Amino acid sequence: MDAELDPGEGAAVVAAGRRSAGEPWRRVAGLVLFAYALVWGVALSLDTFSSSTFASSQKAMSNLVVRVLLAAVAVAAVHHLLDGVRRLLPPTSSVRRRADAVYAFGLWALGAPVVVLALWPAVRWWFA
Amino acid sequence: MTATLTPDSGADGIDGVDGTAGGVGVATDEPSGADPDVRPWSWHLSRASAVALVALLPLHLWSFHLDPNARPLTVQAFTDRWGTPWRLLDWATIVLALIHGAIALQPAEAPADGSADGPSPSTVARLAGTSALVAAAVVIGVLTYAVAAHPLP
Repeated sequence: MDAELDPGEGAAVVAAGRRSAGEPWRRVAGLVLFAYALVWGVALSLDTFSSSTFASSQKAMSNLVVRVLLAAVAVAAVHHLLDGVRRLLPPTSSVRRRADAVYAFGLWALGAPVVVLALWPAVRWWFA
Repeated sequence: MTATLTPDSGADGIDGVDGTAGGVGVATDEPSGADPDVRPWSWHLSRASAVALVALLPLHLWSFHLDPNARPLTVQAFTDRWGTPWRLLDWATIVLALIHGAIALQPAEAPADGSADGPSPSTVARLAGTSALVAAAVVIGVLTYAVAAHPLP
């Protein structure tokens, strides 16, 4: 069996398998962002209908639980954007291989600071 | 969720799983046997919204939630914000995200000629797709009204 698989084909199969392995996270990130868009769309609309409700909803934005949820949204956005951009490239090209590397690096290089920034208001409020 | 997990084989950059633009997608816009150069309008809309969101979403998240120097979003601050082009950008970001997500959540339809060998969408997938579509339409309607009716500073 192995003798029938040339090296180039083998690498393509491995790359395809790696992409399929990340598939569930793409869906989870997409669902998180869709839910965020629904909630935030309503939250922004509140000011037109009831300013007091809008003000109280925005006060809750410093809450630690809300900030953790926002951090999850931000990480989902980083993942979904990087993943989406690399999928626009032809899967067998060298540019795509570089984009895969940028995706793996960017997930941590952007994800970690984004989590800190998202949690920062709650941390500041705690230690104020 | 009825996506068939088939690895990419083509060199067109289109994901072999669902053919959508990086969404949570279960929709297969590319039935087997169809001309791969001909895509449905939903595929183009999904791609166009994805490209716009690559710029709009980071801007949105930064300005609302991540900028450490941003002032708290009080009623006055929000009214000031929506007295500027931010009003249009906020509306466009939410609307495009909802359109993009609602398209990606639509279940894959088997072609009428029976050329696809995958399973037809389950009732749960159809229900999820319809619910996403309805929720997105309602929020887009409410937000559009809010953007139009919001008083200027």
